[in-house]
Amino acid sequence: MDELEKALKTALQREPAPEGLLDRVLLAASLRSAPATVWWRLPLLRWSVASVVAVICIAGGVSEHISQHRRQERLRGEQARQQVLMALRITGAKLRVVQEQLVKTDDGGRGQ
Amino acid sequence: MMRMKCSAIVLLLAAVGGRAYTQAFPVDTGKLAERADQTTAISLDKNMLQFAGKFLSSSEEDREAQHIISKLDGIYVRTYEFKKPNAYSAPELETFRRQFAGPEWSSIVSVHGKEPDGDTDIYVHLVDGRVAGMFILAADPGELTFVHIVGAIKPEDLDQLSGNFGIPKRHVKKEPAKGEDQR
Repeated sequence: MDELEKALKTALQREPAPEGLLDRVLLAASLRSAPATVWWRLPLLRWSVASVVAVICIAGGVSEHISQHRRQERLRGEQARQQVLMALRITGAKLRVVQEQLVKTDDGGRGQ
Repeated sequence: MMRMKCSAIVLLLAAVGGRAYTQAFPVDTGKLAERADQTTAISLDKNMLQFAGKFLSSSEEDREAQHIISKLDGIYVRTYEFKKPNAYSAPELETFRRQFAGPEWSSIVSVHGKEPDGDTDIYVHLVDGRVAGMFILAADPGELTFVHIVGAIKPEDLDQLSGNFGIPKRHVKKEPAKGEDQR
């Protein structure tokens, strides 16, 4: 039993760290935590992607605005067309009434 | 001083605007719209006619419309429909007619019957002896219609206009217009 205790004591007793261990550990730790150089971390690429996304968004917005404007223009044009046709129909109808009245007057005059 | 200038400009613009409106629709229809059960108001100036012209299709009716509006500077229609009879009086109608008593207007057609089946007056607007517009005043018992056509439309064009839109063509008998260019 004493032999076992003695062996354990020897095995577990504090020993000074080997020379240069601290430096090696710190070096290894610093190497491991160094940021990986991935593409989205490159400023030029990052700005390029952001610019492309912004241009796509703006172009989409402008395109939507143009198509909306065209839709409204078509709607207004169709309304104007309907108004023209209605105005001409009303005018034509009133002129037809006048013509019929004139023809009636003519016929009445001839009949006398 | 600056405020006075601004007021003067506002008054001038109001006067010009008022004049432009009067030219677009020369009759003061008063409060007809308030009494009418249904009102139709169409105002199409030259710009609107040109704009509408772009949307006219190749159908026969649209082509005829295109042909007619190409000669016009504007077309203004006011229709007042009344459910009750005698919604407007004869003196009131006469008031409208008197607005064409000036030298610039000339009556070419005037149909006034004893029966209340509709009175119609057609006036032409003369500028330097040439037709610059036309006004139709049609009074039915339940409806009053005012049509102002602006542009160098000739009385002969009325025949074409009335012949369009499914309406049979007939010759229009007209009164000689005062000062109308006979060339």
